[in-house]
Amino acid sequence: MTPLLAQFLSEARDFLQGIGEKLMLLEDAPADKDLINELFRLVHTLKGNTGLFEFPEMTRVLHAGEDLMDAIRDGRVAYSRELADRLLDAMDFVGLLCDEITATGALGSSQTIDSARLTDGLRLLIPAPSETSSLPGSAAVPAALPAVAEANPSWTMAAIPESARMEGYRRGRGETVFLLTYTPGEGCFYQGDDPFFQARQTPDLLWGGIYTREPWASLKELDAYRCILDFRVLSTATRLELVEHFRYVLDQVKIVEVLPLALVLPQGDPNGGPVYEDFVTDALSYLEAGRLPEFEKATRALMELSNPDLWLSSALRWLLLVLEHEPGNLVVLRAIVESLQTLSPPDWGGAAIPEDKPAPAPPAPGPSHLYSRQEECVHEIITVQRAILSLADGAPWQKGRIHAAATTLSACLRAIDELDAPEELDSALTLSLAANSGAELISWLDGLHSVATMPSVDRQLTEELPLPEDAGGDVLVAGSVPTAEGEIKFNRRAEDAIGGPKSLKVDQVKIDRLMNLIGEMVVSKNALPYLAGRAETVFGVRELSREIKTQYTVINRIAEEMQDAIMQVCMMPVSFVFQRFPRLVRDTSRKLGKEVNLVFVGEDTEADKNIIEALGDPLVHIVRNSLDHGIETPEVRRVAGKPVAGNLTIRASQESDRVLIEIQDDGKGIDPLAIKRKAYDMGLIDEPTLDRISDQEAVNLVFLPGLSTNEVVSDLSGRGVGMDVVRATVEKVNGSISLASELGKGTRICLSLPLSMAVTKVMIIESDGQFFGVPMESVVETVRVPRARIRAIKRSEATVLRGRIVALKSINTLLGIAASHKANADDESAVLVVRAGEESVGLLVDQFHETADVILKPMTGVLAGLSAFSGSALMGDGSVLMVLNLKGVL
Amino acid sequence: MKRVLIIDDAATVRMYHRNTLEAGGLGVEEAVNGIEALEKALQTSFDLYVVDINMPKLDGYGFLRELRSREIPQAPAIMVSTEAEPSDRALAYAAGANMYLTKPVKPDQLLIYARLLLGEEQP
Repeated sequence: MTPLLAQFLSEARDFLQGIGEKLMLLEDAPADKDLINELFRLVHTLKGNTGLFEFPEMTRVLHAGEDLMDAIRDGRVAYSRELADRLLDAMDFVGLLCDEITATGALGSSQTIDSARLTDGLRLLIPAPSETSSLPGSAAVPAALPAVAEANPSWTMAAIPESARMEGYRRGRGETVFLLTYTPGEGCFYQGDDPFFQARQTPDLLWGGIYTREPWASLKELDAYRCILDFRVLSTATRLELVEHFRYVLDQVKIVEVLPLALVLPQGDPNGGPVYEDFVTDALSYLEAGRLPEFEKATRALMELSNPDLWLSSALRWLLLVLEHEPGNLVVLRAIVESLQTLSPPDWGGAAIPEDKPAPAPPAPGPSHLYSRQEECVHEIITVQRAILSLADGAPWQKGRIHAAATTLSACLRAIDELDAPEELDSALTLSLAANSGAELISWLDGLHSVATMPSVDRQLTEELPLPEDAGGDVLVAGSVPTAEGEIKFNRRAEDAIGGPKSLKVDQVKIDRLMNLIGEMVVSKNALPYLAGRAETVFGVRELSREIKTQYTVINRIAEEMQDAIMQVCMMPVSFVFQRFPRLVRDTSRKLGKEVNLVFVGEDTEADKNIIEALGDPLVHIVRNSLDHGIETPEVRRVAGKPVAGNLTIRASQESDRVLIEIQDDGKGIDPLAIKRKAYDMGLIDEPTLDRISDQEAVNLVFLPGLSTNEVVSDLSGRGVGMDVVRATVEKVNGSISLASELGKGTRICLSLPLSMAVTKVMIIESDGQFFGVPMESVVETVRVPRARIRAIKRSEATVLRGRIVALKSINTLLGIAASHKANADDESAVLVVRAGEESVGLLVDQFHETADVILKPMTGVLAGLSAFSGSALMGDGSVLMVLNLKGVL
Repeated sequence: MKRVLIIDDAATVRMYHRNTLEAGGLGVEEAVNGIEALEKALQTSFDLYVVDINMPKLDGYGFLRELRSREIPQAPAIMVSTEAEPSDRALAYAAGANMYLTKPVKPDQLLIYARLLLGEEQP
């Protein structure tokens, strides 16, 4: 993957995120202009980015999205939920495409259908521009376009329906009419082109037709994916507009200017009708005498007599049209009348259809074209500068503009070695600046030999600068000209921007590497105390030992600070996972017909990125459960005397080195009886347990695999796969989960997670000469219990600690170590009290040792099957410490 | 080395132009919106600006108008945008652009114009 593509994907994801957020905000404030503008800008920029790559599926959808946003921005379309849904769908699709590109580096063709479907969905929401729909000509287009004619090499204007040609003729009096032939490549469907749509959307469309290039193959042999269609389009748009519209397929497009007369082409049934030799004679004499009213009267009279399908009638209609629009053009009128004698179209002397002028070629790649390309560019640059210099809108920046145009001219001429007398340009510039007018520079430019000999530059370039002198000011005012007040405001804004925080975007892999390195550093610095010990005990150099220890404290401090700093880098606010919930809650609650208010508290609480990421799926599950099973439908809530809209609160907070996430709803809660019964029915608990367990314990049964209280399995929460998976996920990152529920009042689920999982704090214990680590988060306390206070209850041992019975288990027994425990000199046993689920259990060990920060490496290979250990860690002295997985052991 | 300031809010586009211009032996700096661009332009002088239209805070038109209002050496500016309306083109020139290119700009196309506007001979 190229860096550019990687950059694109990363940025695209940011944009999609932003678009999603803005759409959600827009839901609450559908009239917020700034928001709409911002949204448009995001979609627009993202679309622009895709244009740099060959991802037609993506570009197409985004283009439609952009057009839709544009329509919303202009007020042509009102914001609606349906519209937001479609846009969100489309953005999800784009996200999907990004994933595919990330995974495979390219887009398969499988997305084309979805892309087209989404694009159409978006386009449907955009009303057709009114000026196009009111065109009489365009009304005929839907009927005209699908009517695919057979291959027709000798295509003539006669193929265009008379009504369209007449409209073209009428408009052609003031505007230019273009006939555009669009010959899409045979493989265009694979390039994401939509030639039909492209042709259909031609600006100022008068008429359109589709033709096959070759006869259709039999259905059996027909290759439906090969495009053999030609499109012809009659339009009154300017050549520039057409070029812009077809800019991606310019090489497949031929644009020909059509003179209005070329459209004057009577057609119809040549046989039958009244005798009209007399009319021809009379008409010609009327024309000769310039008696137009009589001429018109005679024409109308004959027309009434004729069947409208006749060639004759067609010619008469044209006569009237020409008479109406160019009554003075007797030549044309006479030619039409004379054509009646031969029943062949009047010959406009070939002048009417000018030579095919191909559209300006698209930028041609390759060095062989460079020279001619450069020449074109030079012409264009000079023409544009001339136009800029002739602007006289009196804008406050006019001088700067003149200056820049002069710089540009100077550079451009220098580049082609034509700037013979730079000092003349300088003096012209000085004069121009003094007069605040480009006139001096223009006359200097005109005096240049090289410019004077240039072929006259394409007319379209000058057309691009229509700016009449008086209108220029207006346009610019509309474009927010900085006024005196604006200036001050602007400066203030500029200063604000300087103060903003600067942030870096860094690849996650680099950060992970840094984390690993600092982890190793923290551990390996622990080798120094051992070294100091050896220096003293083995080598007997006490001085050195002390110096090593002094050094160690320094290194230790730096390492810890460094670790802290790197951890800060990896910290991110929980809002990162929260931000997907507004959308989720909205979509889900709408699907369920429920009303839900989602409230976040403490979104800026920070935790390690890995923890935050691990949090995502469990949270989604919990929230879905709440929406699906917890919060009731509005009717049920009303009956229960609750507010119609349910409340869902997600609260994050930090407590020492843990992050607490609390998800609370005010739904119907969990019925402990129902849960108990269900668990019993499924054989998850036995009868004594059924009678014994408290309500609080009962609701926590939802964490058992396979338990779902809802009789109806919905497509949202699914079939019981839920809370057990949630718990497993949370525990995988050393977190814990608890649930409290009150029937009819609601449910609260609490997640507790470590701030960081890079370094684990373990307590080292010793038993039978072996060392083991126990994760500190499950350690409750260490106590020494006199042997006398250990009692046997049934077959197990227990002791009473501060009035509570704590079951005791021997670590040796649990790990299958044959030796028995050693008590200390006072006959006390070392007991490590640990948390196991909701209860505390005392582990009988031989000896406690210090706690240590370790990097826990998961067990791999054959060892991965050992459930008793969660991983191993390297100690400072080079030994390996096995860290116990208490859940697996107990 | 001639220095070009690329002004575009899209990092991808900035990278794209940067690749093109750097391959052409030009020095490149970037700005993400008109305000940042103006700050940079007022601090140091550039030989060419490549300006996007649609940007937050201050758009391309606004940037050019501000730039052209200042008493500083006025370097040429190429405006690059997806907008293809003739009126946008006219607005761009009136605001102080010296060339207007429509996205997606092909690398060799941008480079030709950039070289010409910098007064450099084509290779």
